[in-house]
Amino acid sequence: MRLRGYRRGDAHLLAGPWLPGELLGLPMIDWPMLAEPTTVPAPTDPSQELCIASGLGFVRYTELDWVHRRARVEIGLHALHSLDVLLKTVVAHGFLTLNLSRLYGWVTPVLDPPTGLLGDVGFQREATLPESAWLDGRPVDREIWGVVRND
Amino acid sequence: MTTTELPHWSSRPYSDADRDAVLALFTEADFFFRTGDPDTRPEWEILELLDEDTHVLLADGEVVGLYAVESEANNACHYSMQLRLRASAPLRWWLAAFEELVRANRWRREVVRLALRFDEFDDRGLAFARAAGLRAEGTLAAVTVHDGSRYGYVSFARIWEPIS
Amino acid sequence: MTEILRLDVEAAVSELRASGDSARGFLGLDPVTQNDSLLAAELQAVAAQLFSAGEALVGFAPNTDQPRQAYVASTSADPEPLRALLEFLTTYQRCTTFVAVVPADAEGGKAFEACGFERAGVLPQHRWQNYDWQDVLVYVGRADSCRS
Repeated sequence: MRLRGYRRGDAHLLAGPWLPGELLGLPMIDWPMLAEPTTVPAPTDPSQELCIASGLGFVRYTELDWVHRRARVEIGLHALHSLDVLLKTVVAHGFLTLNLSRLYGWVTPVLDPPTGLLGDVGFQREATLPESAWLDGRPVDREIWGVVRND
Repeated sequence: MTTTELPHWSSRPYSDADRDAVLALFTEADFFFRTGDPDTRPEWEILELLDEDTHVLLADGEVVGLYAVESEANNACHYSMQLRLRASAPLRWWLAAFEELVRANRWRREVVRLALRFDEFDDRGLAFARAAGLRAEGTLAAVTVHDGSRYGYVSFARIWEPIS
Repeated sequence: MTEILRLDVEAAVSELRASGDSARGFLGLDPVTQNDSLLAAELQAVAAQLFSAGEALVGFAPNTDQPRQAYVASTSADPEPLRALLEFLTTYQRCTTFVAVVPADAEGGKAFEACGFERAGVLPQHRWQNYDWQDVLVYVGRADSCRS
């Protein structure tokens, strides 16, 4: 799988029923009918790297820091297949193309995301923060998962 | 769709594409959305009533009403809502749409107090507020003139106890 | 209770710069490597507010996903200025939990432990400083157990 560059016509892929900032943004089936979908801004300057995974969704490397050579990753999915291949590609793009040394992101346990797939590509749970996001009338815990390049 | 089923709700911020449908809503004599005499208002005035918070409410893809939710105080999680459905929408549609809106508003942010206010002459609005079980908080008397008489403004609210 | 004085952006930036090494990693900033306009831009981007408390500098940035949680930072190992900030946040911002993200050997880290924060995790090699990678510690505190 290769990521491809964003084009204006991909704008519809940037909105969806995900918790904002989520590393594994799988579509939430109980998203309220009248709630606005979460929207990610289109890339317009070097502070963000946003790529499209054809037929799946977008990958965003945000909070890019070239001194500390790290980025926070957000993935927004519209389809649920090939997530394992996508994650390998996400890590490869971050380490080999962007030449970063660390990738990390937010995981919200109450959404029951497939964290085994994160483990398969080298991510580890690094911190657990209580009450870090608001969902459906109550605060929910969030975890930071990260991977460090080892070469 | 049978008469007992509820429609599938959707919404979008008001835009020009919905102008004709929204102007049609205001031809109803009791479509009291930010105005007390909707059916005599000219087009420019109606469009002025629609600000950036205003959303069009759709039932099964058809425009049936308008709503707007505004923050009433910084950081205090107090909001006010204006919601109106067209005359042909039954009361249970109002109630269903309202509960969906409440859920949507509490989805990503804390809501402690949600206020709705209706003019005293607004029979349909008052009927909805009472049927929705909103707390009646009082009437600000004699603030508006309608059909030759003075009427007040009735306040309702739903309150969720803060988690701490 | 230590008095804390709110600083506007310009004053905050000059206090950060004056704090030197003890402000490296403060709310994710680094006054040793970032110039004034970048510091000001970063502070505004996260809506941070900084306060001076005697010799120390403390500050917070709201968690936009959950406004009742705030990221907090301090340049001093003394817990008193931090306690004053937490009191302010609890009283005026309805904060219930606090998160501190602190480089492993930073001065400010000791203040969090002294205030009853718990270690929530470690972000390995999250920062580059002094010619080497640094781990960053994540601390979490609760309003009902971390004030005086």
